[in-house]
Amino acid sequence: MFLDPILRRKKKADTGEDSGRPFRRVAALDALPADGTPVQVPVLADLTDAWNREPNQPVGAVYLRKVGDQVECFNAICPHAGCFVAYSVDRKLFQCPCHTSSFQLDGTRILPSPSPRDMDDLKVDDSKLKEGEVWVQFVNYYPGHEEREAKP
Amino acid sequence: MIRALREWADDRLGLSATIHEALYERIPSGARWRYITGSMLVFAFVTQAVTGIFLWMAYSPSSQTAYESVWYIQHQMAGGWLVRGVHHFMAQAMVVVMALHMLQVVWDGAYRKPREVNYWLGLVLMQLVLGLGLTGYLLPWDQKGYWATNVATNLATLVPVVGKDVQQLAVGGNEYGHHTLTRFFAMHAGVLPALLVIFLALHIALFRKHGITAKETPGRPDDYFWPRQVLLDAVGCLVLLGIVLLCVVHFDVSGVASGNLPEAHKGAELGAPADPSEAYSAARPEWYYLFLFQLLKYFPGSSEVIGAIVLPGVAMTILFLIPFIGRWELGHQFNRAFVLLLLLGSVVLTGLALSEDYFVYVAKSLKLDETKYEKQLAASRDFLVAREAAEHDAHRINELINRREWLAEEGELSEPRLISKQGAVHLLRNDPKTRGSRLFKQHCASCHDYVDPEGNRPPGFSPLLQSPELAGETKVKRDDKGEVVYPPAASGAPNLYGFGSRAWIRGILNPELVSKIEYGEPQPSADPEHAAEADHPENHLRAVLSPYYGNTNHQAGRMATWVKQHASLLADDQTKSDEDVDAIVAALSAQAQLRSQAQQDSTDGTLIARGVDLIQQHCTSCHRFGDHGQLGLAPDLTGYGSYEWMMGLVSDPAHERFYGKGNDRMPSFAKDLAHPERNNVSVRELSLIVDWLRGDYYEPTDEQPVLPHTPEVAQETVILSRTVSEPRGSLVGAPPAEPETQLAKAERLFEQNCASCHSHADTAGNGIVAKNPSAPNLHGFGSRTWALGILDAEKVAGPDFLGNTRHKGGQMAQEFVATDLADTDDETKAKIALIATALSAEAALPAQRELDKEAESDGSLEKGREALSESFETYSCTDCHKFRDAGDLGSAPDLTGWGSQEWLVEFITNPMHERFYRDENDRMPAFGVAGPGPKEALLSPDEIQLLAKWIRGEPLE
Repeated sequence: MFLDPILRRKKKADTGEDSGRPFRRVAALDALPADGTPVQVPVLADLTDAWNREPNQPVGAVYLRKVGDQVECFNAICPHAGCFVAYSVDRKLFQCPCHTSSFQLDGTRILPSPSPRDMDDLKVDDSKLKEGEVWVQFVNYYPGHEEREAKP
Repeated sequence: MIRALREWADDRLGLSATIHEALYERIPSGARWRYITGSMLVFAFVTQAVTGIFLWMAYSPSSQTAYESVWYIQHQMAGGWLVRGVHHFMAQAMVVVMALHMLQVVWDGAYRKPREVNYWLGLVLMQLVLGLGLTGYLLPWDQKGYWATNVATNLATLVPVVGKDVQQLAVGGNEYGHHTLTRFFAMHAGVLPALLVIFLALHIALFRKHGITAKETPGRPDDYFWPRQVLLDAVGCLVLLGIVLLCVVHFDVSGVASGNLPEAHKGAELGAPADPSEAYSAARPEWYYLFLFQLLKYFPGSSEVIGAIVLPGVAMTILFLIPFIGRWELGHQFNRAFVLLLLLGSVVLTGLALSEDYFVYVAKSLKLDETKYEKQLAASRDFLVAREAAEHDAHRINELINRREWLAEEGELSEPRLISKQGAVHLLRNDPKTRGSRLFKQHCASCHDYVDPEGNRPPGFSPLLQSPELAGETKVKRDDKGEVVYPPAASGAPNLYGFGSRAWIRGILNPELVSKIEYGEPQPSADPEHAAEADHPENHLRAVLSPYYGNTNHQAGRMATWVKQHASLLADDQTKSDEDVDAIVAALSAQAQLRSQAQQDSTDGTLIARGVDLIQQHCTSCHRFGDHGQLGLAPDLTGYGSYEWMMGLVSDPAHERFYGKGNDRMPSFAKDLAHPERNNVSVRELSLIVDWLRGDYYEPTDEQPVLPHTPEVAQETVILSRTVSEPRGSLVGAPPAEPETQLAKAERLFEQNCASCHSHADTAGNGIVAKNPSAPNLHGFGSRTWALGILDAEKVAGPDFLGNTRHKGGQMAQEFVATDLADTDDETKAKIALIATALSAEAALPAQRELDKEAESDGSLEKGREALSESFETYSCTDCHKFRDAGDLGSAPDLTGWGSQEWLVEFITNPMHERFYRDENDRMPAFGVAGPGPKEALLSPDEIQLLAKWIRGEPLE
């Protein structure tokens, strides 16, 4: 019982349920500013909390940024310690309010930085992009390491 | 008697021996203040146990109830805030006393043989106390505790090998939730206190076994624990309790004395409920963990593990080794120095962390040169703003939980509505006052301004900015005079401050304001690097201020044109308040049913009724208004600005009830109700924005407070707002609908686009009758009968011809037909008939093919054509009209090919064309003209061809 969270994860990994993470729709392409200003949007999915499951709940947030006809997507969670990174319009930077990590518009960290890596970029579905919609593969990563490793 | 009882108990329990042993411990060289810390810690722990058990009785650990039960303890239960406050501050006091205790132990060398084990027990106790602090911080499940603890458990994953599993076990899954709380609570109230009791018992037992490590002073007499040391300990404990109590009331002694302690001074702070989707930028751990928090800032990149795990680990190891190191005198001095440094270091780091967060004040009090510390100041300002927002949310949730609704039927306020089962976070997430403005900023403010007449915007709002044209990557383009060049069309939509109010509507009916556009003076960039370059585009962003259509395609649209043309009708004499324009403004604004205008709306009944009448007269050739007018050309004015109207408009402005094809760039934010995940903004969030704009949110100071619309009501309202005609469903099992015939399509197009003003009905009224006939009846348009009709002095200004248009009083009707052609002799009548014949022949209607042939052969066609240039009493037709080679374009529509397919198509496409009415056009839209900008034409070329054919009575396949 106490070890249930770990056993559950192992079981999920063994049965391969964990392998394919779905792309999720987060925004329409024309909702993104053309000048490349990042926009923070929530990611909606079924939220499971032990015995509760609710559809279309915010499970995280991403920053989207239009670059030419492509869209860059970053997880809004700081790779340093897991705080929620803010975007500063005045300074045109991503800034973490906790330990002062800051990142440029393309997600690269500004050195010296407490953060061990750049902001976590997420995959954007190209075919959906052509249809004018932004679908991203939402993944949370463990903070604090140079190499990123997906959270289960 | 008492003595007998005592002896009885003593014989069985041996109490007096225990008490004797406890009290008559010998203290060499007597009692001292420095020995009191141990007793104080025991006292603190007992206080925590007692207050903790009371809190436990009222606390409910789950993500739906944790915050709610703590709120109830804090704000509703008798003495709840006091118990919680004591628990909260005593925990902090315990950490402080523990630090002093450790310092005293190491300083006095009390870890040395034979007390090593007891020292280690003390270290374990220290870990347990810190663990209690960490687990306790999360339990209220407020934003602060949630986000700070999130960081702590994230850091646990840095521990090699087992870190991630430890984190999963602590969190009870992948994400924070019910099981995080149940596990943290089990640790906080069960496991850790039980361990603490066990280790404390061992610690005290060993302490008694080895006796106190006394600081011996020769000549100072020995004491027993009782009474002097007990007195000192008791004084210490009471002082501790006193300080804690002072903290609990925030040192507001006068408040306590007067029995009027403000809410903010009652015990421990409780933030807003935890919301994983709500960033919390003021996340900080409890102050005694701040030194660790600060330490992390100094270990960049992958060296984070050093600050988070290695250094604390090394410090703990050295603390563990202290008894061994202390075997040598030098080692003892090292130990003393180490513990002192450790404590000092923590104090310094804590101070640094605080001074960075509050750097704004630090800089001010130290009078630092602010330009040198711009970065630090900015970070500090961000923190202070976030903290203020957090405090604001915390205050707001309390208002919301205590919200009372005005019960109109009872005429009184309801009981406080407290919290629904969905939890407190639901209240805050659905509060238009706090969330609406933020959502507006996120989704609307890139086009819409929100600025009051004095030029003030809500915090965080800025005017729309226009970027200059570039002549290089970071260089602006300048014209010959050296002026910065801006792109021709700035984007932007109406200012929505006070949307729907009388002031707002008065403005849109003001010919000057309706398409006004102004530009602000560009401000130098905040970035000093950019500010230094005069040509940097960042220095030339200029504010675009347009109260209404200034920046949209509607700027030169029908509404703006109409307002300008009717300037005299709309002229507003400030001194009068019962003009027509006042009535129109009051009536339209009343549709919005704004709470802020409820009083005015109810007293101005007569004015509003008159305004409704005027709107029906003047506005319904384009707009629908109740049962007048029809949809298709302009937004529905029925319920204009009301919650229902706005939900419909914002969710889908391109819907036929609103802008239809005329919609200029406004996104359909929630068009697809069947697939909420495909919408850019959820209906719930739109409702928050609309409620915020309209002021429909709870305000405790209101006399008749209202609650915002629920998400369910919002959803139903959107569905309702789109129901404009009969239901579109089809019967299950019924044969599929026949494809629409060309005839049906033509009739539909006419009904949707033309029938607001034009009828298409014979004299008996068969056909399509306009709802508000104001323009010519197009039945038989182009025929001889029709031509004869418009040339008839009696009929010309009647309902079937120039009816209710401005042409009714124009040259054609008044000066020509009504005078020249009235009371004529037979010769003139014959001439009119000839003109009608010739004019009608231009149309070449299928129904008149035979008649036209006849006219050609008998020469009446030729005569008629000549008659068009012949003068009557004062005018000839070609004085104003062009007809074939005679006359010029410019003052009236071209009669060449009048009523022909080609003529009709061109006319419908653009009646303002120089061939037709130019500026004299009265309200007829240019159905085939697209734009300006990406705006589509109202009708496609094919649709116009079809309409023209149908009007001409051509066979449609």
